[in-house]
Amino acid sequence: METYNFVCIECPRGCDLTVVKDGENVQVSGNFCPKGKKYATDEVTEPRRIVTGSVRGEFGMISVKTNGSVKKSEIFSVMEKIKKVKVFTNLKIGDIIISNIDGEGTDLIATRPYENIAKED
Amino acid sequence: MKKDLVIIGGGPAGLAAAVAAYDAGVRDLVVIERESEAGGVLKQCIHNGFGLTRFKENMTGPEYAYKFLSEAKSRGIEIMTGTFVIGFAQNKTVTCMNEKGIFEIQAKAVILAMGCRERSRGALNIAGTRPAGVFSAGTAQKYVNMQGHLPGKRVVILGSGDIGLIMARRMTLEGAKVLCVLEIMPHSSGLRRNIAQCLDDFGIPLYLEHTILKIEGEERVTGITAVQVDKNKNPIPGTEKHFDCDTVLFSVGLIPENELSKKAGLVLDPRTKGVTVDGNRETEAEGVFACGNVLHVHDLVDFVSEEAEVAGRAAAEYILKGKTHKNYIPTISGERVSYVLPQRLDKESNLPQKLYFRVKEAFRGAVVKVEAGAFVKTIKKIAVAPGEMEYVVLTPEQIRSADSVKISVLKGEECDGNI
Repeated sequence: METYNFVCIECPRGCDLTVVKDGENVQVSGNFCPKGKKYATDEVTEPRRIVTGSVRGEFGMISVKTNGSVKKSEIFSVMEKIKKVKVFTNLKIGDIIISNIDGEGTDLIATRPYENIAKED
Repeated sequence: MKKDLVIIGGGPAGLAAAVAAYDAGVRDLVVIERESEAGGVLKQCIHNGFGLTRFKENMTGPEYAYKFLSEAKSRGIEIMTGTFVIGFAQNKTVTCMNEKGIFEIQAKAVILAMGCRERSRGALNIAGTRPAGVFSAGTAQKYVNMQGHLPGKRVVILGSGDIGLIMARRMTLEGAKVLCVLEIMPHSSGLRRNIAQCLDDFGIPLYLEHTILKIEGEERVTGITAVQVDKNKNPIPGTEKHFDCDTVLFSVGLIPENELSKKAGLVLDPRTKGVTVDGNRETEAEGVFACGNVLHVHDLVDFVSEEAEVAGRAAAEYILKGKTHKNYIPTISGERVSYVLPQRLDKESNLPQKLYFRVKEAFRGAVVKVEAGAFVKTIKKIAVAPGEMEYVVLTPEQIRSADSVKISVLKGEECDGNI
């Protein structure tokens, strides 16, 4: 039986979570809401994170995020893919830039609109 | 030029204030923005975690900014970008400058929403040479996220405020090695969740009660000497540690950007470094309002938007209905409270009043005590920290019978049996 302590990252409240893991059995305490329970359970089984970054456009950087969480172990391979992309089209928020970036169906999407035209400044 | 309402600053505060003022009936309004696009600092805050409190949605900074920007655009609110305000007076004349020249706008009401600036190396008197490679965390964030440049490869970050923590993660994700984050205080000033997801996730050490003694390097930073400090923040000899690095980021606090307010003769509160306001966010100058980080530095944009809407609605009421009689009482920072905002409350107001405050020290098992005349209430908190703004809400009735409102924070053991 192992005991873990985490600070929940789901919201600014930052609950102190205690997880007791006994084989497959996981007990979570200290959580204010169900999101904390899920977060703590994932942390001791398969930790996941949303990854954000920015990709190159013809006339500036475009901020992006994964539209769901990816395995924590995959964060750096997702970042490598983000660094290699260059965008030449117009975009609006939510447009897919790389589909299935983690091999589990998570897409990389734009988090700002982007017009592929040069701006003064 | 004449306008009913001029809003100085097109960041989250200015945009939310503009939308709220429009919805309260003001049609002749303009937002003045110095950059080529509105949205303020959120444009470079590409990480997620925005909007959770207000929208129950996990948004990135740009998504949050564009949500308000599209609200403003759908109402046809004019946003004058590329325009710099060089002065404003208490008679509500705003002097602007852009590529067309210098011009004045005479407004009926003005909302100050200029945001804040980062404290720089110069504010800390850190010894050493002046090589390239020293950046404020926000500048590095702009380089990385908006311009696509990585400022360095081996990084030491001074200050564990949220921007420093966020940049520790960002620099790591982008391929740099973050050697450590140094914090002079015995606690971080950032949100706890940011220590978890930005430092712990990547094994970046946080050294509390440490600072930079000296920055080394001629052309470019070659290293720093860190040192532990005592309770009076003086370096402890013999605790020096050297780090070889090419980059130093400073995340050592934010200061409200009040050059315009000072020039207009408004007095600043030494604790918040912003102007003083009432519950409507009206300053001592009639018809001049302030909201967001220019007023006091917030941790969460959700509260900036909320505060800006209060200011926007109040400015609309002032424009449409004129001046009202005010009967002010002060708010008082009691035990362990560094400031309470607003600084004064109007007894005649019919609106519930949300009072924001910060505690001076971090501890667990806190009791917030609010005293408004005969009305006293206590609220238990699991933990409090200077980096996490707290609030209480009072009803108009509770304020009406009081001569002042005092907020104190007690340690649990000090009030056993009394709550």
